[in-house]
Amino acid sequence: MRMEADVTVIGSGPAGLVAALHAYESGAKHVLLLEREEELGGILKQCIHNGFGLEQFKIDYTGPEYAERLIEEMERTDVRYLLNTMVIALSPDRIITAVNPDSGVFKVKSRSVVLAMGCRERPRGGINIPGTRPAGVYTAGVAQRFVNIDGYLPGKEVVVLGSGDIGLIMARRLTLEGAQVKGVYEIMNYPGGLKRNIVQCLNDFSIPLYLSHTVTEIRGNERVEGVVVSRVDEKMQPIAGSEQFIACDTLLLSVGLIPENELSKGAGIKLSPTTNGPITTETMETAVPGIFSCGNVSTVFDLVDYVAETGMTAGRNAARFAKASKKEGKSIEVIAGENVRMLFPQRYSFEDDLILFIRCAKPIERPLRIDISPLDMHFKRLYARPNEMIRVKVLKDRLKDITEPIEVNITER
Amino acid sequence: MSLNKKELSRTIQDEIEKETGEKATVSIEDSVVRLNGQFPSNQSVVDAGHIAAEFEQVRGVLNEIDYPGKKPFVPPQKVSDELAGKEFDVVIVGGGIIGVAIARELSQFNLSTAVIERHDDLGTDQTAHSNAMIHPAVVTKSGTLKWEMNYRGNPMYDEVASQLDVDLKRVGTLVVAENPDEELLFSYIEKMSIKHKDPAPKELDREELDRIEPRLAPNIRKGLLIRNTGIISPFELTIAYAENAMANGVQFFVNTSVIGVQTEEGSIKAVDTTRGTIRTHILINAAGLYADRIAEFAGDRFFTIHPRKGETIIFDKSYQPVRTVLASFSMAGEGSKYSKGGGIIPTIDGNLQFGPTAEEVCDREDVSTTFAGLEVLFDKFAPVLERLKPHYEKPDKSKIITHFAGCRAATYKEDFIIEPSNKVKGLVHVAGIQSPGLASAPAIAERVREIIVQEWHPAENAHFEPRRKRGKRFTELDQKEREELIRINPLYGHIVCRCENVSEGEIVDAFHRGIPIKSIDAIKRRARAGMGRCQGGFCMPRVLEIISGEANIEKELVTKSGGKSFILSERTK
Ligand SMILES: Cc1cc2nc3c(=O)[nH]c(=O)nc-3n(C[C@H](O)[C@H](O)[C@H](O)COP(=O)(O)OP(=O)(O)OC[C@H]3O[C@@H](n4cnc5c(N)ncnc54)[C@H](O)[C@@H]3O)c2cc1C
Repeated sequence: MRMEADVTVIGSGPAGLVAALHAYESGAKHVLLLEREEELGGILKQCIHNGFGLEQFKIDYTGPEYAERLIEEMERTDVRYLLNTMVIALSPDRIITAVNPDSGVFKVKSRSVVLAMGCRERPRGGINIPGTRPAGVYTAGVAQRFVNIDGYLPGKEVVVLGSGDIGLIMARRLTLEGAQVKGVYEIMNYPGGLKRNIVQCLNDFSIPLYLSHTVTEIRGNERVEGVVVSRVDEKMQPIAGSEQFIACDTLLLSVGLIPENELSKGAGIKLSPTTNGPITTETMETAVPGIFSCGNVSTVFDLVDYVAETGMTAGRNAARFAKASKKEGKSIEVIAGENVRMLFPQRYSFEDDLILFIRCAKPIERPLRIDISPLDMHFKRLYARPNEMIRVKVLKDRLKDITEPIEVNITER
Repeated sequence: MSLNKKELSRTIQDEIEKETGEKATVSIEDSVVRLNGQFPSNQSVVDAGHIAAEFEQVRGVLNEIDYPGKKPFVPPQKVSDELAGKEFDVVIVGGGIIGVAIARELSQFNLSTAVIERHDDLGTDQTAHSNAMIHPAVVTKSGTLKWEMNYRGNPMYDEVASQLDVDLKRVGTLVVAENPDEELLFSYIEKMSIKHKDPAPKELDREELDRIEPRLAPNIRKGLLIRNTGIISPFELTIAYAENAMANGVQFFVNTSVIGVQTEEGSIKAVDTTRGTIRTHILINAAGLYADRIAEFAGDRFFTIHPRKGETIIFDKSYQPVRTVLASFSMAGEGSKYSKGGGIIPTIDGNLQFGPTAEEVCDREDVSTTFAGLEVLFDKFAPVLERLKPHYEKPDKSKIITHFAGCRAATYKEDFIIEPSNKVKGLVHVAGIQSPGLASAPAIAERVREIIVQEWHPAENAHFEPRRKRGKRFTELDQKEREELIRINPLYGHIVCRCENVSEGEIVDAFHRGIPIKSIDAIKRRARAGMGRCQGGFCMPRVLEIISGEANIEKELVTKSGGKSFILSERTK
């Protein structure tokens, strides 16, 4: 089987749904959305807590409600979607190979492609916790799926390692389901998740958060019987003598998300070592013409609203590319300067406004300035924390005459 | 004679005291040395055992010295009688690679054979934790039984792999010379290889090196390729042997521990298991880390197993800096007296591994990994790899996807024991099978066959079928084959494990190949779901669902690896 499409979107999480919708609304006729799961919505389906779409729709939705709203909007269009469909290869000339139980293996030739595969959770191996290998060690997302979709409690006495948002949300969820969450341990000296989640998920339930702590050993032969936690020094090395054994039957890991870019790599798309996602311009176009990327496959965002925003941009530009393959335009680099750990996008191509997503390198608890050079442009903030992404917008007009790279620096005032 | 014995025990006692500063009680009977006493540490106890074993006239060492932290051996409790009344000609204790290879070998005869394995799946002890290498014999000490089995077993793998439809790659061990002086050492390795009956290694110039192991450091001009080094999947091999044995009539009992052996007038009569007593007249002791316990049950103790732990780290597939088992002279001499010192080894699935370490431990069940182990492996191999392959990304810890450990079943003689018992008729020991036990497995099975044939003259099984076919794998098929397969069975079009592209069809197939399985790890070993970079993070709930359906058990009862390793605790309210 062989299909053709103007725009093909891979992945139907919020980024993919929004991208497909906006590609269609921007005039692409044949928009195809491919999803490997049996339902649309991606990870939203299992995020039954609220806090979605506040900025985009000004309504506080739960994950499934938010997905439902997008899906409804999409259903009113002619966007086609295929479920249970796994894309197994993508070529630089935008030929997609996919497989599903109904059609077997098939190819799609698409004028433009939007990558929206999202991210996956870092597993235990990724952080090398020594000890035994019993049952009871799960990523927070797996636990979330067990509880919210399958209706099972993965354990009764839980330690959470890492204070990423999913970990925080699961600490609350498991408590509500009757499990005892003994604490959340975070290796950094600041929390990984959003402030509102610390308050609503931990503080409100009296779940202790231990900063500068990590799990240094897992014990138990068949099922987890406990973990050893240790304090860490400034270099994040465990401090000898600070070990403490905590009895538990479950260890949840919320230790980071990794953009899922195996397909992108296969297509020869260059990735950024800091975001682990494709290097893109403000139009969300990757280094391979006609292939766009958006959402958490590009960089791990804090908020679904940001994800949706990049989806909109990607969808609109993918439609534009599908109509008239754009000539090679010029583009310049966007560089992360002082105190900037992560910066997205990494290039500017003079097509759109430049919306920058920035993470600072360390917590700055006093007024600061974000400078955009060579423009004489500054944004002021009262504080900045690595766990809270900063979004700033630079209008196209301001940028049209510059020739040298754009650099973003954060300085304390 | 009795004076001799006295002299020997005296000498052993003195030597032990000289080396460890501790006094052991030494007694000798039938050339078996027995050590008793109270020592301060496990290591000193192990040293004592090794010292006693050094003497040539010592056949085995029973080391009963106590030390703080020593684990008492408590055999598991009987749980049922469901196997009571069963009777076999041969019972093999242990479903590791050795037990299953023997089972398949014996299935060529008209013998009723059973394999008893305490875990919920086969090959879960030493076999699962090995480095999956088919070693060249040159790594062993010539003249030992280990050496003989290794040099015989290694070439047998070509036929074994093809009959059992298991992937085998003869990647070779490549020893590179980092300077002209080291080039002179090649002739020594060549001489040693020939002495060990390996095929002659091949000297390679730079051009040939570039073909075999691309982009080595510019200062490397020559290398020596030891061609018979192979890599294989020990899980796949174990399961393939077992499936083939099963097809030829062998029965497998998992979740069953042997907890006693009954003899009558010096002959094997029955084995007591946690699920009832099984009658048999031939008992093959292939119990790995517990082979000394089985010997003890049968009243024929003459060796003690001391577990030596090895840790290994595995890197993500996206990082593939080597094609061969890569070695430099700087790594030589890094090993201890009793282990080879580990290496930089590719796996058959295309992951790089560093390992193993070697550490004497108190507990045979100690499969825990340590910070120290990781550091040792990293410090030892990362700089060598960086130096030999400077054009590749550096091996950094963030690329590690998993870290595991396993214990080697070492005796103090540090050699294999493959022999009929000289005390109990019908008992055959296959013990002390530490590394290179995997490389030796086909030869060990053959040796056991010879023992059985010589003693019992069984008739041949006219229906023996040496070939086994493995299940289809989505990743290995071309587009046409995939389409065909999915048309017949749409489950092959449903990808469950996205890291390894494993389809639901492959997972379901694992349930229909004879050996009953119920755990997540059993699926991982067979279908590779969960073996990839996310280590089951994504597919585990799906695999659990499939197990629950196929094995027809409640989700709460699905385990990670048998026993009480339940994945879920209860339904939510
Ligand atoms: C770290 C490490 C790395 C290694 N690397 C290599 C390598 O690269 N190449 C190589 O050739 N060799 C290697 N080896 C050695 C190799 O793994 C072993 O020699 C081989 O697996 C031994 O197989 P086995 O069947 O004798 O033992 P095992 O695999 O241990 O099998 C014995 C079985 O007996 C069962 N059992 C024990 N007691 C009972 C009981 N009472 N009742 C029922 N069942 C029982 C156990 O559960 C187990 O499954 C390595 C070993 C280790 C530990």
